[in-house]
Amino acid sequence: MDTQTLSAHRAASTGVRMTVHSSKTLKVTMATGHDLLAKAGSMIAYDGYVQFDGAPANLRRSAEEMVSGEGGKLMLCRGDGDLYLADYGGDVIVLHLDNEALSVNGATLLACDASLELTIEPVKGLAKLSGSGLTNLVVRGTGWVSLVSRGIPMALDCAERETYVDPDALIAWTTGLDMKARRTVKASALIGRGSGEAFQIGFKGQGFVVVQPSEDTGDRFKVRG
Amino acid sequence: MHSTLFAHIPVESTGRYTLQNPQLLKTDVTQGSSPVLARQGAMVAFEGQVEFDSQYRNRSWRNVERMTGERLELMRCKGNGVVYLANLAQHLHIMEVGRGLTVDSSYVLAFDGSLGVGIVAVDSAVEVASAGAYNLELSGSGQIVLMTSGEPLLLEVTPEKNVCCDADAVVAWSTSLRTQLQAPTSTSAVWRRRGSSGEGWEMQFSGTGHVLVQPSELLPPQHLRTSGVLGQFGMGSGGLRGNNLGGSNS
Repeated sequence: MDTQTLSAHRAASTGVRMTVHSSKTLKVTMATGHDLLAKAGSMIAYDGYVQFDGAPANLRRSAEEMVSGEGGKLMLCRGDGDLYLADYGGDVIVLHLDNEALSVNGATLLACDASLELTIEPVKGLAKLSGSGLTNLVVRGTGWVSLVSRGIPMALDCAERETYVDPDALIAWTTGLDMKARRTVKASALIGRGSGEAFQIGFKGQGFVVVQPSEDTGDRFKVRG
Repeated sequence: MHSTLFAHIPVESTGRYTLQNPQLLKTDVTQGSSPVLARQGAMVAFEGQVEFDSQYRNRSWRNVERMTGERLELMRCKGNGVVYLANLAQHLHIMEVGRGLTVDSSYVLAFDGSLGVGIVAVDSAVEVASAGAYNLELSGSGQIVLMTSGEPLLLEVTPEKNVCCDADAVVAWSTSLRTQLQAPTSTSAVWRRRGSSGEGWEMQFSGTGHVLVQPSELLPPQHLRTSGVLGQFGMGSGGLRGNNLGGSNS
């Protein structure tokens, strides 16, 4: 068989814990003692010896629901080998946290090291009306995190000037930013002449915000089900 | 913190419209004199002071829209700053309108307010999925940003070379082209439109110009904002995911 065109798609072997293969697949190098939390059902392939379990008991049920959407689950992956994860063709982002914290919009978390701390924090102010929920997931500690974005993501620096983001396109932001909601609803919206953009979340401070070029944050399991 | 993400920081603007990446448009609203007209709800993020207003449509225009179903709800973006626009991660293309462009309104992301817009009937009475019976015709000098599901194909039409496209996949064409619809049927199955080959209506273009075709024969999910108060205020995306069928465009 001529495998010339296929061999170009082979995953490169790297010593790094998490790498992105062809922008849509996450490759995780698993090692014993370094467990991984991933969205249940996101595994597409693995080699070596990898086991999948339900989420650990110390993870609060509500946190789990937030990550994986309604009725979904998180899974704990352990073992030795290479694990490949993907989420319905979304673009994969890999981040390494060095004793830092990242606030994530629930359904966009694909995987993270089990050593990281997942907490739910309430969204303050008007931003809670924005449709992305009353609470947010904060990933804290030292380790690797992987997010998924519908389309090629963009990181915006909030240090220079205030950055406003459509809550439906928001994926993640660094904690410690000043957040404030901004309404652009005018009286004209009441008579059927709205601009379609009513709420934005403004960010200011040292850090960055990640957005996706699609305003669909829903996860894919709901559609199939 | 280090990440693959920092390859995706904002690019330098080179004019009014710049592609941040194939799926995201960076619009510098300070440049140019006319306002930027964008599809309602397409804003992903912005920096600086930008205002979003609904574009006023007079009664006759609204009547035409209602009768033809060619509905394009626009917002004016003006102010001082940079706006990022995108729609369902579709691929975006900046183009000069030049000598006129005919496009279905569901493939328009943004254009200069200085352009002339009209609704025209395509030479057929048949409503086909992608290029409907009515289309938008843009003229004047300015730029337009189109969106396609996947990477498109631009075909050149010359007097010697006619081009046939699946009518469900056609996105836009030069206004100067003549169009004609035809159904590829054989005698064995004339009564079935899709015949035995599974192909539906074909659009034939002749003249001189260009045709833009997308690698998908589906309409993008448009006009799916939730109704009611929330939808009026541009919030919520409940209907969206159900209609998006789990596919990402790539």
